[in-house]
Amino acid sequence: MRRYKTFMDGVRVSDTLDRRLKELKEPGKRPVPWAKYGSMAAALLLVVGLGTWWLSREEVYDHLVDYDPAAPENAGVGEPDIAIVEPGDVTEAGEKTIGGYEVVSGGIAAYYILPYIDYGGMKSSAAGQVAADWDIPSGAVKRDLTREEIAALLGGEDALSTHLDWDGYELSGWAAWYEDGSFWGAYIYGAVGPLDHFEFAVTANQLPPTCFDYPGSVTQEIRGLTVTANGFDSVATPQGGVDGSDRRVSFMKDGYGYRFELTGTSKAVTEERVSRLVCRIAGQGVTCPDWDGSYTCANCGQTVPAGTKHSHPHVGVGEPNWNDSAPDQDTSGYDPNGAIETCPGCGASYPAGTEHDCAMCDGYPLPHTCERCGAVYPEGTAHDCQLCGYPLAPDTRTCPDCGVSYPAGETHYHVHTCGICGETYVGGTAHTHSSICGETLTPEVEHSHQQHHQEEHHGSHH
Amino acid sequence: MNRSNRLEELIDKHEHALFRAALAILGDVQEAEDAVQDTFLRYLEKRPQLRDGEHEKAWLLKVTANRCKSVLRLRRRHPAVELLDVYPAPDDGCRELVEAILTLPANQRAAVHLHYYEGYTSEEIGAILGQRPGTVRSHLSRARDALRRYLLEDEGE
Repeated sequence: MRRYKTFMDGVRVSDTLDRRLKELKEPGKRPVPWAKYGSMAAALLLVVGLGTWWLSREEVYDHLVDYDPAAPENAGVGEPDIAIVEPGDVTEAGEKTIGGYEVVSGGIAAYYILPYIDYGGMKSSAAGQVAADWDIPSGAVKRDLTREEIAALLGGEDALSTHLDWDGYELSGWAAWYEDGSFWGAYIYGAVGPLDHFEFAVTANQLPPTCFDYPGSVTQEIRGLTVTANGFDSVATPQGGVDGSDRRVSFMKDGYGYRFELTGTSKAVTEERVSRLVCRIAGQGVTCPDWDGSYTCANCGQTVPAGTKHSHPHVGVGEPNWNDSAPDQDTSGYDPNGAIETCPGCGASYPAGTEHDCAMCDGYPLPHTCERCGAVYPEGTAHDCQLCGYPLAPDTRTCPDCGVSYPAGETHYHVHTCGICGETYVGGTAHTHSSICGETLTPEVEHSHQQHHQEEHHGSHH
Repeated sequence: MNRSNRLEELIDKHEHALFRAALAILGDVQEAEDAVQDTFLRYLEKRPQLRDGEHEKAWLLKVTANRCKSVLRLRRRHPAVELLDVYPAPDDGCRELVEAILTLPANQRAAVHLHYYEGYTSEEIGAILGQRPGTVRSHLSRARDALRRYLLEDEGE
């Protein structure tokens, strides 16, 4: 970063700003900003006040004991133009807390108190696996969720960052719907390296299934939810290992079941993140993604309603192309009435025209199976076939003589195998009988070279 | 020392560092100047009791970073004045590196500046930016990945 230092050393405050700074006067009292947000803060305080009127002043301060906006470490943070609304959420009287966190939005700072969760004796060391291998109901449709959809499920990007503290986690997940389009469940996996990861699952009308039974779980009331929690701590020993904490909670809220398991290297941070999630779900729940069964055709961009058959007429003339060859492909997994496709690579079902995150088809829609090498690849992309050696593309041409496909606009050569030496070579190019005498056959003899070669070449030897 | 002299002393001592940090986070000269001005205004209002010069600088940087966060939250436009137009880079390599840094997310830019320019540890940066040290390390790691080519060139010379 030597260059960066050099550059920054050259950055200096302008004389104008320097003068402005030195002319600053101590304000008599807090000016405009409070007034600016005053009405908004007052309205919010009124709402919060109605909800918390029964809490005595002492109780409120008890809950806020971990946060002191006037403390030196908090001094100057967000003030004075940030109105502190406290508390941002309401705890039951006497509920134990583990501090809280502040969220600033639109000039209003709300403080959220995090509930303490009892994880019991933590005797179970069984590695948890919330939902990696769920069997979704027959007929249900499962598809992968985008990052945006995951954020929307939990209340938006802000919620991921400020409420759940999931900054830095790589997120992936999927959701499933019944045939009628109603939400069945969703699963989200997040990881920051191998030692810090979580699994979050939500299902309608039931707790997400789990293959594990955790003895020693503790059931407790938190924010009106009946939360079952357990956990396990591992400690590094001289023989190896690392410090790690595993915390799991499950609960029902508004007809949805939730499981959350988080593994991290810091016990305090792990427990705080679990409390944050419980706090968030207790307050906001989730916004289940909708799917009405319709989809957007990847080829024409048309929105196709659920249950409607959608196809493209064969428009090409002349040489065959991929559309022409479509009827010959394996379409057993395609259900036009349901607009569902089954990935020939992994067998997963997904709405036609949507992206499918499959290791075999590389996440592209509408995969094809190469007739020659059997590889699965997305339509509209080049395919490097190991057998034919040519990239296959939408404008692929198929040679009527040898059946090899090749990109339109490129010269196509026939691949030949020499009957004498067994070597393969591209038709139209010179072939050397290196294993016999090293003599080269010219391109002109490509279609009759075996006989020509045998007669001309070997005849001359005799 | 009266208040006026004390403020002048603080300005002389820290204005450049605060401005550079604000510029690194915001990438906009005008906004960075406003953030620095707001910071000293805040100082005048709060008159915090600060232990020593380092505590003083960390407090001011923390307030500046918070001002920058507020600006970023409310930002509706791209930087009005290009940083490199106002402060030209001495050479092409430097320009490329600064441009690459400016393309990083703001939290990564902040971490990079405070670590590589100001020399703070991830714990100290966490305290300034209101983030966990692990989060700061994550930002630094991602930034390093994004800047790897430039850093290798930098080291190679």
